[in-house]
Amino acid sequence: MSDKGFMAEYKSIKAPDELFDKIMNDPLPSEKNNIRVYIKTAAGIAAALIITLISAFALTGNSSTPGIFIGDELLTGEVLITSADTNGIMLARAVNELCVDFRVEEKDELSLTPENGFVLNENGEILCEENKAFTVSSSSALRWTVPFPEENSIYTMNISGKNGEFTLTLSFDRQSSSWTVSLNK
Amino acid sequence: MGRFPRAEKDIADVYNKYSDMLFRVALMHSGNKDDAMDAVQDVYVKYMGSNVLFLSSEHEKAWFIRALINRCHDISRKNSVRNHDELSAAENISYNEYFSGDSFLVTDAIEKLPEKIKTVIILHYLEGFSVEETAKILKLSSSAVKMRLSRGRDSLKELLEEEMYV
Repeated sequence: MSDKGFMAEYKSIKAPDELFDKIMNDPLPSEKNNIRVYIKTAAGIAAALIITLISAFALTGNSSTPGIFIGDELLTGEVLITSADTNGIMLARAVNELCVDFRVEEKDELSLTPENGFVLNENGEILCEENKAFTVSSSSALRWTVPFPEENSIYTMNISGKNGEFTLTLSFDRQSSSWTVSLNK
Repeated sequence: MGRFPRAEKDIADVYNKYSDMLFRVALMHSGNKDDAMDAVQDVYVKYMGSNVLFLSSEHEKAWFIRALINRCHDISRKNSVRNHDELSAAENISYNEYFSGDSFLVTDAIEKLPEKIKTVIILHYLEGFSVEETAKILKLSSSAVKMRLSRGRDSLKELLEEEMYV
């Protein structure tokens, strides 16, 4: 990236002269584009939504735990998932962070409060920092990141929703030498 | 402009402050002049229609860049279903207006980076934002930005080496 010629050319790029007039005189490009997209995809979205809602209900409607998945595994009180079983729990050694990729499939709103670390969305944007609550509903792919994890410590995230209060617990299991996640009421 | 809560002078002010930078970032992101113009236009339209108050000039700048990046990602998703050859031809024509000679090696390499990595590379290396500033703008942790920069540097190195030997 030290190419001086490239940087000089890059820095000399200016917004086209007509752009300001376009903004002031035609301030609805998104709406026009969106209408086209809506018309083309409305039927598809509606069908996908119906399928998603039916699937979500089938998966979570009769469950007594919130619909939280790691990989394809629905977390319940009995299931303990370890990093040896799934690549959804990763220790990023280079930056010393422990990451748990999980998915929420829940028809009702869920409030998540990480007591340790922070939660990111699919775009890598921080949704919630330590001890702050945020709400998710429907289908969301999330990453819980715990910086500088210590094997002697237990990390938790509180989850509350229609089915009650739960705790997602992340701890190191010495027997299997791997990180484990469990969901407890 | 009665439907918008902001005065035309305010809009002109923020246009003069950020439009060149936003256009450059959008151009490198989308690789296409028309898409870049649409993205920048959308951001200003969003600003015109919003009541957001900025706590500082840094907050204001971050808001504009973040809105632009989100819009670029939307456009990128939309373009991913378009014919790839058609898109590449359009991109080359677009870059011809701004770059020459060996610079195309760099634009081609940046073009091939994954979206998230491309964003931090553009903000940090091309626009000169520090790691902490980039992290604040993108609402990421500094370590996440460092990780993406490191991956981006490795990918760019590989891509540039490949292109030099083609």
